[in-house]
Formats: sequence, C-alpha cells, structure tokens
Amino acid sequence: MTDPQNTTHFGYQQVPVAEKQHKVAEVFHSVAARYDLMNDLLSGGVHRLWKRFTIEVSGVRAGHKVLDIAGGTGDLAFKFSRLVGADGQVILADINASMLNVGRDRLIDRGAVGNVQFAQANAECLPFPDNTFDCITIAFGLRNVTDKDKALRSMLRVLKPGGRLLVLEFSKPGNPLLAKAYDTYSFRAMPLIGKLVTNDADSYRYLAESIRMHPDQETLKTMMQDAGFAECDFYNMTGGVVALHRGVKP
Amino acid sequence: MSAWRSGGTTLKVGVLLALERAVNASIALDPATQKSLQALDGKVLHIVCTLPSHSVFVLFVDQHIELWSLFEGAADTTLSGSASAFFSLWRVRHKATALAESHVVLTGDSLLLQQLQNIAAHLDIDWEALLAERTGDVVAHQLGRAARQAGVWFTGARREAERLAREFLQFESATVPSRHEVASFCRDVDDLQLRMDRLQASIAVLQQQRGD
Repeated sequence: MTDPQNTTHFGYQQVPVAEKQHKVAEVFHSVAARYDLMNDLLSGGVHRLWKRFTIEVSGVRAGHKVLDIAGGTGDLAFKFSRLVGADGQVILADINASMLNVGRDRLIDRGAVGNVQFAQANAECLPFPDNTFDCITIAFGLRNVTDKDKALRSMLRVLKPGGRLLVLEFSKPGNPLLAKAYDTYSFRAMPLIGKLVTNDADSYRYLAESIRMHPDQETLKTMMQDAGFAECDFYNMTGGVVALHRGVKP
Repeated sequence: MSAWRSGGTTLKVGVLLALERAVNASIALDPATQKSLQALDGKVLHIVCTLPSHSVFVLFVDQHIELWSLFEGAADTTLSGSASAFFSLWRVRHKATALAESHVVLTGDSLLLQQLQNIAAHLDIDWEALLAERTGDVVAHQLGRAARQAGVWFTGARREAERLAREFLQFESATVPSRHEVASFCRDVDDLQLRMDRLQASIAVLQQQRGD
C-alpha cells in the first residue's frame, strides 16, 4: 500500500511523489508537437491575451534579466527578448526536453537570438545563483510542479530584491454559472478535442483535473506570502478562469 | 475578493491587441514612417481619456507600436483630456498650435509629441500595395483611383455643405452672426468696458475730492 505521506496528486489520482514528475513529463512529451495549436483551440486564442497582460504587468525594461519557467513554446520569452533588448537577458527554462526543443526552434525561427538562453531546469531547485533575475514568470506551469512551496522558495532565492514573480495559472471562477459551464467544457469538450486533434484524450483529461486540484486564488496568494514574497496579490481574468498572481522579493 | 484589480481585462487587452495589429499593418505599408519610428524606440506615451474614462499606453518598440492597458512605470509623455478634446486635437488644421487650441493637457516630454506629429504629417500609407496582394495590380489600381476620386468628391461636397449651411444661418435666416460681426461686437464690448472703468475711476476721484 502507498504511504499517504509520500503521495501527491496527479489530476484526481494519488501517485507516489517520485512518480509525479515522470507522469507530467509523459503528458508534455505527448502534447509538445501540437501544444500551440491545442492552446489556441482550447482557449479560442484567449491564452494570448492572458499572456499579453502578464507582459504588461511584468514591468520588464531594457537591460533586465528575466527567467521564464515552464516557458513551453516560448510565447512570453519571445516578447521579453524584445523588451530587454541587446543588453538584457531572457532564460527560457522548462523541465521537459520536448517542450524546450519546440520553444527553442520557435524562438530561433522568429529571430529571437542573442539575448535568449535555454535551460532544462526543475522549478523546485533552480540552477541559478541567488539574486539573479529582475523578473520571473511561470505561465500555466505551477500546477504541474510536485512541491509548489519548494518551487516558490527557489524562485524567491534567485530573484533580485525588488524583483517580481508573476504566476499565470488557471484558477477558480467566481461566478457559479460560469464555473458550471467551465466544468462542462473542461471535462466534456477538452478531452474530446484532444482526442480528435492529437489522438490523446488522457493528457487533456489530466489538464482539466490538474486545474481543479490547483490551489484557488487566495490559497496561492497565502502560499506566496508563506514563501517570503511581499506585496502579494492577484488579478482575475475571464471571470477567474485564470488568475495572475504577483509577488515581490523584499 | 482582494484582487488588486479585476474585471474587463481580457476584453480590453483583446481590443487593444486588435487595434495594435491594424495600426502596425498600416505602418508596415509605409517604410519611411517605420524608419522614423526607430527614433522613438523605448519611449512610452500615456493617453488618458477622462470622459469616458479610459487609458492606454503606447510603447514604441522595434519600429512598431504596442498598445498596453497597463504599464508598470512612468510614461515619457502623458496626454489627458475628454474624448471630444482629443477629437478636436485631431481635427485642428494648424498642427503647430494644435495642442494650445485644444483642451488636451500635456505633461512630460513635449518632444515626443512633436516627433509623433511630424511622423503623422508625413504618413503616406500605400493602400494600393496591400490591396494588390489580394486582387492583383490592375484591379487594385482601379479601386484605388475610384477611392481617390470619391475622396476628392466627398471633401468638396463637405466644404460646399459647410459653406451653404454657414450662408443660410448667417445671411438668410440670420440665426447666427458672422465671425466679423462677432469680432466687432466683442471689440465694442471691450471698448465699453474700458470707458466704464475710466468713468468709474473719474467718479471715485470726484467723490474723494468732495469728501475732502
């Protein structure tokens, strides 16, 4: 029997802590090739607006150093590379090699070279010196991290004092009607679209389940405060379907 | 909920993104303007509309513009005023005195606005080139010529309509005075005001002498 102390959730399943990382990796290896297409299909393109707003809130300027964790196919990293200019630096980090490869190819194809570097890294133990980055973003990645508290502490460590962390993640809609419609869409339509487009319903069922298991807005805010972030707050988008959390390293 | 702000964000970002793409697509049709924008690289213009209440940040990045709903920092130039004030600023004929004639308030670096006015004055978008990509050169040219002729006709028709309306109101129905009549009336009022002031001063002197 599995020891409940050493288990964590993988969607609605309880799995040994050591296995979660491997299972999440399998999901992302499976979806990497069509990740962007599926994001556009599933969100109706709205994920681009959520990411755009994250860029606006980031306060990133020319010369800044930015870390984009779970950067996937590099949507945020591309925008940051233009904002930081030749004197700045953007690091696109992802634990998953397949996603990182897709992201690297896309950024090179779009001409984002020179100030962008790539790192296969685990958010729980970031391989960077203390006080390195002006801004860290993690978009739609934190819910897949096994130990979120450890990851938040790791991010705090590598941020410069005054630097900000932005967590863009699915959250809990405030309106019960919207929540009901969102549930129906997540558990009926998303696996079906996944099955039709990528022949992989399970990965998109995991996506819906992992969103439900992710802490709600207030809980994540408290987790950030507990990790040591100051000025923590969040910004609901699309009725709370997605929330952008912000915290500053004191 | 203690969110730092909430509501309408996605929609506003979406509208601004669509507008930004349209503006950048237009700018891409005028290489000279695109090159001029390079001089503004890194600058931020904040446009604040007080009525209705809206604000937008215009960022100049890499020869194109970005329209942001939020900007975490200080803008180089801020323009604020009501929607009608911005409309009158856009409509004013003498660009050199445009800001002074409007009710738009400028704070910060006025050079950015001057540079933008210069760029806008020399904006020459090649719409035919855009059309030609979809319809071919011949059709695009015909459509372009028709559009230019329609533009000339509408401009002439508008001016003529303005002239006729002015003449009707001023001369036929005598509902409103002409500009010269108003100016003359104002001069008379000013003159009367000055005479009254002098008369009042003289009376005050006489009263003072009588009191002594």
